[in-house]
Amino acid sequence: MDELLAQFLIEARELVPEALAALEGLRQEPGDAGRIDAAFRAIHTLKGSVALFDMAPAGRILHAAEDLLEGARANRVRLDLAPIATLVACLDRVDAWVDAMETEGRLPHDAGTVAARLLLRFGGSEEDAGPEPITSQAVPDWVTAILDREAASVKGAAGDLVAFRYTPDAACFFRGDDPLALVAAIPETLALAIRPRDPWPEADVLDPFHCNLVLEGLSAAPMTAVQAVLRVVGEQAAVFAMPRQMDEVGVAYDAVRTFRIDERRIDSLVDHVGELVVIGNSLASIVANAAQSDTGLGPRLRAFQTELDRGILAMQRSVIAVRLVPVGPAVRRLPRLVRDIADTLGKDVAFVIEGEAIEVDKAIADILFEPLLHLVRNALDHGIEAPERRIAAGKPAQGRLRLRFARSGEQLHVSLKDDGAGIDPARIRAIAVERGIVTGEGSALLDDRSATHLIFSPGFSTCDQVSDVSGRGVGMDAVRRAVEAAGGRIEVESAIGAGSTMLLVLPLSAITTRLLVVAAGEDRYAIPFDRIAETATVSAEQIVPVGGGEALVLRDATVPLLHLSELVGRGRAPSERVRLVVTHMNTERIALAIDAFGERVDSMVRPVSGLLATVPGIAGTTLMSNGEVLLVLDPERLIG
Amino acid sequence: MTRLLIVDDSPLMRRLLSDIFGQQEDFVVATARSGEEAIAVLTEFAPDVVTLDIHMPGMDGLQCLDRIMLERPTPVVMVSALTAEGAEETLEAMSLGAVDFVPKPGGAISLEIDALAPLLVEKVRAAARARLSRTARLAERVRLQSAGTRRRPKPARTRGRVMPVEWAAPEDGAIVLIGTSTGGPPALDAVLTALPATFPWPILVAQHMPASFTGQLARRLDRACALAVGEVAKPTPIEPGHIYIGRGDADLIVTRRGARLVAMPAPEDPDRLWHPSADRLVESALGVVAPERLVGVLMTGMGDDGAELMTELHARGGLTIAEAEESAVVWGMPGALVERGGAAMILPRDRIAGALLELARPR
Amino acid sequence: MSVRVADGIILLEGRCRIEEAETLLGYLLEVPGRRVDLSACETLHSAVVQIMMATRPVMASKPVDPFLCAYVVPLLETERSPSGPVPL
Repeated sequence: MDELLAQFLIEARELVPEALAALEGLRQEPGDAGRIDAAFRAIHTLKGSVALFDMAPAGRILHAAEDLLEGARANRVRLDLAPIATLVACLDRVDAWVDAMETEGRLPHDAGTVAARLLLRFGGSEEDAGPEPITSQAVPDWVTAILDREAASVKGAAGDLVAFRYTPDAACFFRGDDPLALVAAIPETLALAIRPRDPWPEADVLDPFHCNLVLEGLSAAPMTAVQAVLRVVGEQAAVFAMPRQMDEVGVAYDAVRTFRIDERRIDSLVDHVGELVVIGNSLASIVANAAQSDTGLGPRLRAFQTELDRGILAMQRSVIAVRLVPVGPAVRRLPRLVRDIADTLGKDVAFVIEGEAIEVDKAIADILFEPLLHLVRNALDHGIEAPERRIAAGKPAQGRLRLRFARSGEQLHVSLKDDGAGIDPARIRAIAVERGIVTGEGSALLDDRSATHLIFSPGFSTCDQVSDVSGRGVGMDAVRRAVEAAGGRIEVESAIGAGSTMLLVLPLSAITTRLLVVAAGEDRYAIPFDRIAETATVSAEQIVPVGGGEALVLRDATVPLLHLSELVGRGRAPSERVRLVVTHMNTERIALAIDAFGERVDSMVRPVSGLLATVPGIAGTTLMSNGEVLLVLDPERLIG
Repeated sequence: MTRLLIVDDSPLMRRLLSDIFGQQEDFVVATARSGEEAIAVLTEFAPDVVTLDIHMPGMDGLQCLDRIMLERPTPVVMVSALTAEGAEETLEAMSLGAVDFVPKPGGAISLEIDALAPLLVEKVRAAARARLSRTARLAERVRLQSAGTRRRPKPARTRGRVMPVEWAAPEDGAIVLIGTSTGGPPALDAVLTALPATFPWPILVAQHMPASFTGQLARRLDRACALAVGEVAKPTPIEPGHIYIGRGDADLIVTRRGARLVAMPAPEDPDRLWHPSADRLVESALGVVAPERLVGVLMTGMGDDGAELMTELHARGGLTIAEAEESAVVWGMPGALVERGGAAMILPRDRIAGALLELARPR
Repeated sequence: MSVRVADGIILLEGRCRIEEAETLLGYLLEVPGRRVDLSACETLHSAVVQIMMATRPVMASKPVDPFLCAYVVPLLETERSPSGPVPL
């Protein structure tokens, strides 16, 4: 390896942690001049060094970081947690790029974009940076245009094709570029169009050294060969591989005829489809009515309605599919953060991610990172032990942490498993009592599993001191709330000495929710299906009083019973047959007695606003096909 | 032996520069990690030349330069970032007495270091031999302090002998072509600020500099000069009484569009070493303008750019002026012109503006 | 010089470098309607091609080089292709 690069790697790997340590200190002691200075010096020197290599994006973000710290030194800028987080993000990125320089000898292709996004964070709030670009197989417009023009070349080609488009900078001639010569070097060119970027001016005002060309074409050479030629012009050139999925040329051609769409347009499409679903539901009751009054029309209408339903379902699926993205990109920062955090804690941890390719709705992917980061921090801080303790316990010194994504029906299961110390229910009980989360008697009634779930209670912290890494004890509660807000739930399973597993169960799609309508007295409510473990009808004798409440035995387990009408502040009507909706309360099951089951509907749940928003246990409202508005219950909240 | 002090806070940069100069047999290299350290070793190490990073924690490059100039005036080469900000700081440094600057290695330059190193060595070697006037900076300071932002051009007077050559400005006026390099910015400042708003001829300047610096140079000069000064970033019709600074990392050429003369940037001619090239400026002008309408001025700078074509200009009936050795920081380019017998006049920097005024005076 | 005028025709010869773009433009502006001869041309710098795309002189003679024939010549023959994007 280049000697200078070797020295750079050593230097950078000293400077990054140096700066991070100073920033970490600043979190504890905001405004500490010595630490601001230390961070500034490290970043300044690092900036100077990256400038020696082909790492311009790193230089840009370090420059912004330096400016920010310069401002802090001059007391022009206050270094709150947000700017510190931005600085840390920059350093993480640079650290990753340093690794890339070692392994690949260059920065990843997206470095420019990543840097631009980071730079936005210096200018304004984090939201300004916008969403992560969707990296699915959207075909850029220019490729579509080439395909249209070059249909003949595409059809005549035997193998995979690569489309390229090179839009030289107006000033490229001044850098010694000769775009035509470069394009001529692309192997196996099948088509090439040389066009003006802007209309040509009159000859007497023409600037002969102002490049006004766009060069587009198709090559039958491998992607890497085309990239190798165009790499020297960086972002001025774009290449696109057009995979040949079938032998049929026409099919391959169609397969790439997709394009990029503004996310908001998809969202409005989703809304419209959602409304269509509701309308489709309403048709069902009208058809049923019609069938009763007109036996001739009924079957025909029903057949028609079945077709319509099928169409709507297909449409809904297509729309959902459009919003599907792999979960991988949402968590790609985790491995680095795990390393950083583990380093800070002096722990050695092997982190693996499985199932990154699983596709979920973009809305779900978007919310994954923060809760997972929290859980990962927790696992590293409280779960996995220090190497000495692990060795003493007969475990390998290196801890293991596994993040796994899996599909289960319409749900996404995200599990984070560590082989650490596990969670001691006795200790959790003690802390919960001490913090006033449960009473002493209350804690005694909880089984170990339920006790463990107390960690998700507001205000709970398992650490006696606020730690550097996992923060201030708001973590697990915040995680639970974030997951629930996305229509999911969280569970924990733990064995002392063997480790813990956090399980997040999230819907794969965030579009319509399948609801069960239930009645309590005169009122009708809707309960999301994904909150219902099962429904049952039992006789009143099966219900037995337990302590202050009631319970019943269901599938060999005792399940506490509550009455929905009582929970919503109505009286209870006695009945011989008791209709039950069984729901999860953490891992425990709880039966909710209702007066009648209603229809099942797929509907959009709208978040509640105004006064309703303050009522616990209401997940939202939904519009029924007959115009009726139902409250959608969140059984867990209602019970808790 | 040339004693070189490298001042840079980056260990990597110190290493890079030490390696480059360490390979030269005629250099003795010492390094300093900060401005403070540089000042501390200044007297003891007694460098012939200093390379100075502008951005350093603590005492920065400009402060350090200021101290060097006060305590032990030594030729200083600034190591500058090629940014607008870097340009301003570098021009400031040159007005404070720095002799020259080299671009801070950047981008994939580590790969091109073999190509870059000779230039670096040549510039530092030339700087080590540069003439430093103890009073130059003092005068500069007094002028800056007394004149505020807009300096009033001082009426320049030609002392002594006037036209040593038989050259008269043609009826339709002349075009002045100036070439300069090392030490150029202060020299341009001295000559151009001394011209009044009534100066009737256009002036085209090829100052060897990167693109990120020439815009800044033009703006600085525009603030200080009575004549309008602009950087030539695109084809620009040449107007009387305007000063055109050629954009860096390109050449400046004169061309014809119908009846008009146009100045425009052209991609660097790879056959020439320095850009914007004074030779190419003169050559292009000779292609579209009669030689007797051209006045060539070659000022301080290392190398010999401009000497060849200005010699030809002289031979074909144009007027040429070389800056005298006494005022040039590096008497390379003007010296080459004098050596080739291409200089019609040899004048110290302070008398060049006066000579131009005299030439342009209607008679 | 790889761009010169002979008998009223602009000859582009050998390897035409970037600086010839200005020379070529000068010749085309000097006497409008001059034709260009590419028969002895080996390579054309993009800037030179650009001048011909913008001014569309009539070609007196085609180049030999296959790349130029395939992709550059179609841009220049005013008789055959109208301005704007050039079909392939």
